[in-house]
Amino acid sequence: MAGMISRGLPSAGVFAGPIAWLADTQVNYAAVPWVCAHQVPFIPVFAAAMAVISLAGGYLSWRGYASEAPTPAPDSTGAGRPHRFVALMGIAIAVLFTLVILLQGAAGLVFHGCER
Amino acid sequence: MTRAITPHDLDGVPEISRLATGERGGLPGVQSEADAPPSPDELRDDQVDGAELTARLAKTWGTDRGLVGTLSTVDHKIIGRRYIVTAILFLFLGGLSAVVMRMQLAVPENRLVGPDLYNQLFTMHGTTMMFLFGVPIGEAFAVYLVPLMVGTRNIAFPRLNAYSYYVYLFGGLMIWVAFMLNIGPDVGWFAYVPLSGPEFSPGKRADFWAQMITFTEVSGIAVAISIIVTVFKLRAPGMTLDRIPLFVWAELINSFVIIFALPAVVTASATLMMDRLVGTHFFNPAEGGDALLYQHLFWFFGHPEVYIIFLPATGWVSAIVVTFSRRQAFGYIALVLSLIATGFLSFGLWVHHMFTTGLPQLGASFFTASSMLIAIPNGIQIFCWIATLWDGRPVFRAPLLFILGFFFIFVAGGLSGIMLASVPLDTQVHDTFFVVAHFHYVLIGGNVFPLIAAVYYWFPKFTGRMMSERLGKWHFWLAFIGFNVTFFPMHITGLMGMPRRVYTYLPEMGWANLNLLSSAGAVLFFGSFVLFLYNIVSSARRGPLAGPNPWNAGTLEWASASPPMPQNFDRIPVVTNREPLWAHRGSLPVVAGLSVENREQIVSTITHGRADLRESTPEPSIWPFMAAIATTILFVGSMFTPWALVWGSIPLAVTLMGWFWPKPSTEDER
Repeated sequence: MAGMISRGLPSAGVFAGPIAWLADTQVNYAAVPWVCAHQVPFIPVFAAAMAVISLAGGYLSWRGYASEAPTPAPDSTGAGRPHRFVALMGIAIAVLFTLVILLQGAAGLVFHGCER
Repeated sequence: MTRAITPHDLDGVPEISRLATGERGGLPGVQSEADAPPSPDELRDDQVDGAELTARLAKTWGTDRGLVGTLSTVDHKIIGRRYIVTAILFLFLGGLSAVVMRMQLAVPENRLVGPDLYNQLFTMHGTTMMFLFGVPIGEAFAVYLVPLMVGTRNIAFPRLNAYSYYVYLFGGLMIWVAFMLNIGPDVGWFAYVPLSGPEFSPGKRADFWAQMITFTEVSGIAVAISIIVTVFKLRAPGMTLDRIPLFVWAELINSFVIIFALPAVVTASATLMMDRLVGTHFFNPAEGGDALLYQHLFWFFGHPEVYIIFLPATGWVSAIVVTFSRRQAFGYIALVLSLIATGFLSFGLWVHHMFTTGLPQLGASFFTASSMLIAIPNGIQIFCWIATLWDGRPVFRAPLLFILGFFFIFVAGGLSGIMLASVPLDTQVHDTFFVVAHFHYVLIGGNVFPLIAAVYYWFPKFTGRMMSERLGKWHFWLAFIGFNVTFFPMHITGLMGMPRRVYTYLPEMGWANLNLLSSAGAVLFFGSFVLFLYNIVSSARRGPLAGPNPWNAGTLEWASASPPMPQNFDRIPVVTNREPLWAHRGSLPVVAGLSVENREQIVSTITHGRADLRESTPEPSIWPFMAAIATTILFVGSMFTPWALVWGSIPLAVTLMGWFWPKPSTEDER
């Protein structure tokens, strides 16, 4: 586990961000009646947890990028190092989906869940 | 044009030389069938050269003449060409139905079309544009171009690809024949229950809609599978993940979206048919069903559908912008990121089509958030394309003009889309012409303008001849002005309160002038398509010869002849750059060692694109066509009796057995 955290996983952010966002959307959408009935700030709390998962994926992608071997040299278009490419993609997707998750969670700070 | 690879070419891709040199490749201790020595009895492409190699490969990969040969073909270019032509014919049919609607709405209380025919017209227009044109046209271009762009000789699962085309064709013909017989569907392109249910839509009209969905979804998913496998496993050696052309990335993401989105609408249409035919109550609230469930199922498909239409267009735009800017894409990584992010996010927006169904505000707000933030990846794409043009030396030929038109129109549609993501505004303008204006800006701007650009761009590859540039410029201005005159006024008629899907209106409403303006614009827009058709037909017959690479583009499809030979490439290219033809002007490195007498392709690894296996691909077969006929019999029959599922499965099973019956390949026989 420690080795994986150190070495990272280039594609982690590509999957962690969207999966965390999917869980956030589905669980929070289903939880609206329950939030209305119990008036518990579940939505932002759950969104925060999912944002952490998304960012963790981004972190693993970043570690994967940093620990990737510097060879082979890229071609004139900067290509030829697909693991670095996937890692960069993972970092960016994790950041984007963290933003979406946090914005969805912010709705729980505005609405009580009973508004129609 | 081609030369053998040298060790210098392979510095960045150390695994690809073994097919050419016979040396053992792969990581230490890792071997595959590609390492096996070639059979001495079999003629290979390093033993012949020049015209003889071309002729022999063309014979091996060619399609037989005659009716049976034509229907048996598995050549991705022939199937792709049929797909493109058929989808564009459906575009014209859908457009004609829109023109009739615009003539009806040109003046108040018009008697040109009655309410029943009008209901059928807007249903056929929407259904045709979304299912028979929008989804297939993106896949059609992928079927033709993806194998060429990734440097292989045929699409993966070519018989499945052939089968998908016939199923699509038969489904489209079925619904249009029904319309011609005045039994076309009249329930909108979404066929909401309870309107489309057994109580309010007796007869077979709604069944034709529901079963057409089944046809097109079977077809769409089959093609998507073929494309994904082609991109992942049939890329030319050296085409690492970060050297895949942006067009191919767009088609890959699009195929994934299709595979995950389409089952939802098939579930919706199948359960609707069961409610109508065998008396189930999935959507009947009186018996414990849920009418809103139908909307959720439909829009879980319906919103990704918008991106299924848009994503291939981003591929066309990327290819054309790069070629006519004379520089590689600015922000390749950002563009791929945008495609992937858009593909995922498209599945989290569907409830914004249901804001007026009484859902809790908190629940709706999640979808507002996603709907607004999908503007980020789409905005990134636009900025990258503009930056590519800004930093390049743009050449303003007809394809690029249509791309510039796309920028203006699509961005305007995107802005009204952000407005509609807001619940209060959406509630106010729901089901008005404002929404009609918005989605036509998005869909025509986001798909049709790039499509026209793509036709102008790849027409030389498809036919070997150039389209008329002069007519192309006339076409662009007629289309751009016609489109905006048609659809911009609809924003205002919508804000004035004119609802969608009404066959006429009273003069006192004050909508007449704007409607007349929209109808005049529709005539102009229609005229632009007539000009387009004339340009296509006349250029195909008399256009100047194009040569392999008339635009001096950088991607691999331009390394093949125009039109391409059946084998695509005499030798499979080696990719050492994102723009291989710009990196190796005049001499493209190739690998050698594939069979000349058998349909053999290179199977490569997903991430690095290393040559891994030599694999045979299927020969032509009549069975996919027969299976499509059997599928049609089963689908059409099951609109009338559930027993068709039982009896119809027998001929289908027979054709599938014929299709999959073990047949030793020529290579194995040897």
